[in-house]
Order: sequence, then C-alpha cells, then structure tokens
Amino acid sequence: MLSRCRRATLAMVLGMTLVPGVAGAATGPASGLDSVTEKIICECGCSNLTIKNCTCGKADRVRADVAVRLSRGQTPDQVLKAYVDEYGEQILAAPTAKGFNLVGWVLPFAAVLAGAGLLIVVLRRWSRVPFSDAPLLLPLGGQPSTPPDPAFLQRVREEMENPEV
Amino acid sequence: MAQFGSFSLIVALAAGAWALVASALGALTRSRSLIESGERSSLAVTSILAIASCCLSYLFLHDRFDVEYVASYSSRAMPTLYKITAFWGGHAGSLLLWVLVLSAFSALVILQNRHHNRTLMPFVVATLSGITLFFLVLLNYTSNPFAQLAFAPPDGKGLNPQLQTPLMAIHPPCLYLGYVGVSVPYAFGMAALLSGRVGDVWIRTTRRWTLFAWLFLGIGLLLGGYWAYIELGWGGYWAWDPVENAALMPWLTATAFLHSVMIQEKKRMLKIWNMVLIILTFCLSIFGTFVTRSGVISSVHAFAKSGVGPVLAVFLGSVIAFSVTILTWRLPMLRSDGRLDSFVSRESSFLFNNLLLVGICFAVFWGTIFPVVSEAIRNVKITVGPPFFNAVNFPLSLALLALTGICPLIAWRRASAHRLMRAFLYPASGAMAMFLLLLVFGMRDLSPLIAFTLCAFVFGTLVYEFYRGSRARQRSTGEPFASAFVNLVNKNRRRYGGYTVHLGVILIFTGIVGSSFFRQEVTASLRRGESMIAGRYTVRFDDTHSASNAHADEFTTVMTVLQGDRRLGTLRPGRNFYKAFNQPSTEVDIYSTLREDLYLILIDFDPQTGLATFKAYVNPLVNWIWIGWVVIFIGTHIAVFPDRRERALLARARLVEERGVA
Repeated sequence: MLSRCRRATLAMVLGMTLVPGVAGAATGPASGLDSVTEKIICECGCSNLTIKNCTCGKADRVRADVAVRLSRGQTPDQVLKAYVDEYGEQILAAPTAKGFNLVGWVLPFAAVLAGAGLLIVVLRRWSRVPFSDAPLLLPLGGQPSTPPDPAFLQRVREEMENPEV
Repeated sequence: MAQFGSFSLIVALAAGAWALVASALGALTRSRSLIESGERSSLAVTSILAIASCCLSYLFLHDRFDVEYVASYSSRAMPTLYKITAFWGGHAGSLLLWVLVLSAFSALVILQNRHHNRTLMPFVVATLSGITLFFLVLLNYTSNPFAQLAFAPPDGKGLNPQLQTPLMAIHPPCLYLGYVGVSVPYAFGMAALLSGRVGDVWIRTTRRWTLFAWLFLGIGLLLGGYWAYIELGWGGYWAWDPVENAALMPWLTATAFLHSVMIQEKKRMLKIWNMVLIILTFCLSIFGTFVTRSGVISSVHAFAKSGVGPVLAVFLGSVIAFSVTILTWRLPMLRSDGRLDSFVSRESSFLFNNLLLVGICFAVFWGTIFPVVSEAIRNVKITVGPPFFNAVNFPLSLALLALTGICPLIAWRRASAHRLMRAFLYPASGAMAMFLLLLVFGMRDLSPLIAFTLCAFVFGTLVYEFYRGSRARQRSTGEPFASAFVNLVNKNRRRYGGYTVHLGVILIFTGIVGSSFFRQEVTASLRRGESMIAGRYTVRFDDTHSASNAHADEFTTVMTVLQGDRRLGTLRPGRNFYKAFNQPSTEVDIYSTLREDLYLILIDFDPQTGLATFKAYVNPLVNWIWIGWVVIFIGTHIAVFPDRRERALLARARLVEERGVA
C-alpha cells in the first residue's frame, strides 16, 4: 500500500516538474532583442505589459537601447543585469527564481501538491473500497476477473434511467 | 438636487441600520413584527437608493458641474450615453452603483422568499443589510458623489476617452452584478450557519443566484478582455493586471463552488468545504474592491486616491473573522458521515477539479500580493507580471482541462474499469488522432501540442456524452435522434447546460493557446505606396488623414490588406491626441476572421519624412475566445432555466430540513 502511495506521489511530482518545464517553453525560443524585452516590464503605467508588448514611446526607447547594447556585443543576460543594476529588481517582469523570490515561484505548486496529497488521504478514508482494490484497469482484451455485484449493477441501471445531475 | 441626493444617502443609511438591527433582533427573538420591519426597511433602502441614483443621473444629464463628481467625470460635449455611464466612471459613483445593485438584490431575495425559507430569511436580510450598511457608511462619510464644489466650473473634465466606448459603458455594471451577486449565496450560507439549518436548502435556493453572479463576473472578464484587445493597442487581451486578477479569483472559486455543491446535494458531504468556498468567494469579491480602491497594489485600473483602503481592509478583516467564527462554531453540525463508494468516482474527480481551481486562484492571489510581501520582508520592490502568471498557471490549467474531460466520463459513486475503458475509448482515440495530425502538420512545440490534444479529448468526451445520452433516449422512447437530443437537454438542463459551458471553455482555451503560441509580429517603417508582409497578408500603406476638433487631434492612416493579389479590405489604424487629458491614444484596426486576426497598430508617423512605423500582429484563433464566451452564456442559460425537477428537489430538501429541525 505504501509503495503505491509513494508511486502516486512520485508520479505527481514528476508530472508537476515536467509541466512547468513545458510552460517554460511557452514563451518560445526568443532570441536577441525579444529575449530581453519580454523580461522587462514597461513602467509607463499603460498596463501590466512587458517592453516587448507595450506600444508606448518609453517602450520604443527601451527597445532601441536594448538593441544598441546587444549590437555592441553584450549578451542578453548582461543587458538584463545592467537594467537591474540601474532600476532595481522591479524592472524585471517576473521575479528571478533565486533566494526569497524562489518562494514566490514554488509556493503555488507546493500548495497544489500538498492539497493533492491531503485530498488523496481524505478520499481514501472516505472510500468504502480502498484505492488499491479499486478496479481501475483491466488486462488488455480481458473481462472483469470477478463478476459484477448485482446490487451495484442495479444502482447503475437506476442512475442511467434517472440521472440526478 | 445635490442636497436631495445627499439627504437620500443619509436616510438610506438610517433605514439600512434599522434593517440590520430589526432583522438581527427578529432572528434572535423570533419576533414576526421585527422580522417584517427589517424586510420592509431593506425594501425602503432600495427605493431610497434608486432615488439617489436618479438624482446623480439628473446632475450628469444637466451638466451640474458644481458637483465635484460630475465636474470630474463629465463634460458638456460628451454624448448623452456617456453622461449616463459616467455615473460609474469614478470611485464614488461606482460605489453608489454597487450599493444600489446590492440593495436591489436584497429586495429581490425578500420578494422571492415571502413564503419560503422563513427561518433563514431574517439572518439573510441581516447579513445583506450589514454589507449594505458598510457601503452606505462609505458613501456618506468618505465618498459622497453629491459633494459640492465652492464654485461651478464652466465645463467638466470629461470621462477618459478610452472609457468612452459601449464596452466600457457596460463592463463595470456586469462586474458589479457578479461581485455583488456573490453576496446572496454568502448571506444564505451565513444564515444557514446562524440558524443551524445547514442542510442543502441554502444551496438549492441560491443555485441560480450563484450561476447569475458567476455568469456576470465572466461577462465582465470577457468585456474587459475584449476592450483591452480593441482599445489598448498592444495586441493582447489579458495582462494579469491586479484588477483583472481580482475579478478572476472569485470567478474561479465560484466555479469550484458550483461543482462541489453537487456532491453535497447528492451525498450530503462537503458541507464545510462548500461553506469555505462561498466565504472565500465573497471575501475575494471584497478583496477585489480593496485592490481597485486602496492603491496598495498598483494597477492601471485602480481608482486613484479614493482613500478608502484602510476602511475596506478593516471590513474585509471583519468579514473573515465573522465568517470563520460562525463556521468554527457550527463545525460539529457540518461534519458529515457520508462516504464515497469508491476512490475512482465522479465525486473524487470533482474534488480534484476543486483543488485545481482553488490552486489556480491561490497562484493568482499569491502573484498579485507577492510584490507587497517582498517589499514587507526584504524591503525590495519587485514586479510580478505576465511571465510569472503564464508559467505558473499554464500547467495547472492543463491539468484542469484534462479533468474537464475526465469528469463526465466517470460515473457517480463508483466507476467500473470496463465502463471507464468504453467511455474513454472514442474521446482518447480522437485526441490521439489530433495529436498525430498536429505532428504531421509540423507542430513540434510540446506545450501547444499537449494543449490542443487535451482540447480535442475534452471536446470528444462532450460530444460523446451528448451522443450517448441522445442515443439511449432514442432507443428507450423511439423518438427521432434530433428530438431525443432536444428532449435530453430539456430533461436535464443542469447537466447539459454544464456540458455546453465546458464546450465554451474548450473554445476559449483553444483561442488562448492559438493566440499565445502562434502569434506573429512584424514591425516596419513605410512610406506611402510601400508594403509590409505579416503572415499570409500583404499590407500596403496608401494614405493618411488628419482631423481636428475641440477635443482631439485625430490622425488616421489608410492601409490596404491583400492576400496574394486578392484585396481583402482596408484598415485604418491611427493615433488620437485628446487635449483635455493631454493624452495620446492608439487606435488599432483589425481584419478579423475565424482563423486569425490581422491586428494593425500605428506606432509613429514623421510628417517631415512621411515615414510611418507600423506594428502588425497575426493573432490566430482569437475569435474563438469571444465565441467561447457566447457558448458559455448559452450554456449557463440552459442550466439556469427553471427546472421542474430542481424545484421538486428544493421542495423535498425544505421538507426534510423542516422535519429535521422539528
């Protein structure tokens, strides 16, 4: 039972760690100008937009400045660092995943994982049929190894005929 | 008229206070006269606030600039429509609209329940009156829209030009209908706790109210997104601004609530969780008001310098303290002895759905307040913008999407493996076919591949559910398939209305994925006659037009859109300069199809050289988002329509509760 639980938890953790990786790719392989301007927030007050998206004059000037810095041979990381040094961390559109800011990134996933763990414990306690015994999957091409419970079948029939929700 | 309006607010305050006191005392002493007096006072508050609102509208329509609020948000030249909608253009007027809607809802609840829920009603009226009273205190002491200036300026400042669109005229009222609508199920929840009638009567009574609030919050989000898309000129519809987030959060928890109440209705379980969800939803609606009006979290939407932040924070704290105290007091009554028949059941999948909805809500909340947390702990200002919210919410949304497909396939109580296999076979096959098709057509990015595959899977499950139900009905009744389909939906509006809403969600998700992952962007500087290529389109800069009036200088370009040699149409992106606001404004133009939008922005024009700089976005599938909301609107209407069986279940629940208490 414990090993099943561990496996389920492991699968969930792997799933969660895989999917943020996917989400990281959500921004796409931006290079050069885009890779910098999509990480800097525009402080023009128009909206919560990055320099890449904002259409105000200030964003135009920042884009031009970033382009110049890149053309002089600075790497995107160096340009970003220069901006952070000049304007502080708040110039970045998202907090860096370092130090205390890591809490900001991790907590939502940790909360959902903790909630999922708690939910599994609660559901197992509430379930009349333990999780390990629940007939989740059948052998390929197979039939249920035990005949279905007639009372259960009757209940399914009733539900099919009169679904409440 | 302004004095009369102010006087009305004072009378409403007095009547509201009496409604609260009389209802609370009536509930405690079971005095019929006090209860009825409380209800009548509550109805009186509605009438008085309606009079006050008429006064404010009159002042706007008659250009009474001696009233500070009118002078700030109206001007002589404004069209009549916007003079009316300027009512809620600022903090004080929007607060009056808020409390007017709340009191109107209170009146409707009282009239609906003249012969029902008589034990709950005094507590309901007391709770709603308490909320109304708080906002009336704000209106009277901090934010009076009838406050007068020492002198009358010749003209008013006028409403922000970007807000002078029909969309912005109805966007705030829709959001308020949603925010305020949440108060009704919250009040019934509190009434259930206070009266000790914690069965499912309060849930069944308020189901349509919850759906109503949920729908209007959704419409508010849609209108806000659509307005941002066509007005703000950055090519997107959602920027994760704190005020946008504030409206999204109660919508998410209300969605969770709408799902989890089904388990309470069917299994008598989750009574505590449902109470927590409705308290959370109401608190988040107040939190939204706090964010918009306090200035604690900077937002482009916020009402500047309203000064009510601390008062709202105290109110929010009081609501949380009151709700948690009452909930803790009644915990023994709420504990259910219900059990699940199986771990693998629709009940379980609903609970995971709840976990993800609340998890996404928490992620949004955490991202919204994290700058404040960071500043408080590290004394370092940071920004939490779109990259954070997209990265955190995308995986959680994918998991939620998967559950949207899985839930309908799992039976209530217990799912057998055989039935599960059968149910999953066709939708999963369809999803796999979609996955392969996308691969064949060259899609290699894993995120949209997973997202579109899941969309196909959920779409497949929904179509399969509609088909399976219609087919079963056709077999049992001998009706033609089309009639069986219509009757199936008609006989179980709640279920199939819900499935229709899910279809809308799929359309929205498809639109978001399409427009986020496959957006193309081109910037070009052109002289007249020159063209730029944007995706499949050739866009030619043909001409310019300038116009000037008392309020604005308008500059428009004329662009011809071609696909190959075929002329598709003319777009006119431009820039206006509004003199009164000393504010430039981007006027975008869009060539819109079901497949994609060509979104054209004029960035700059140099009259010396004649060189114009344009930015063009090709946004795939954006229209699916708006269509998805229309489908959600239709689905909600199907679910909310009066249903004979729902009425019978409510009557039975009332009877059970009466017997239980007796």
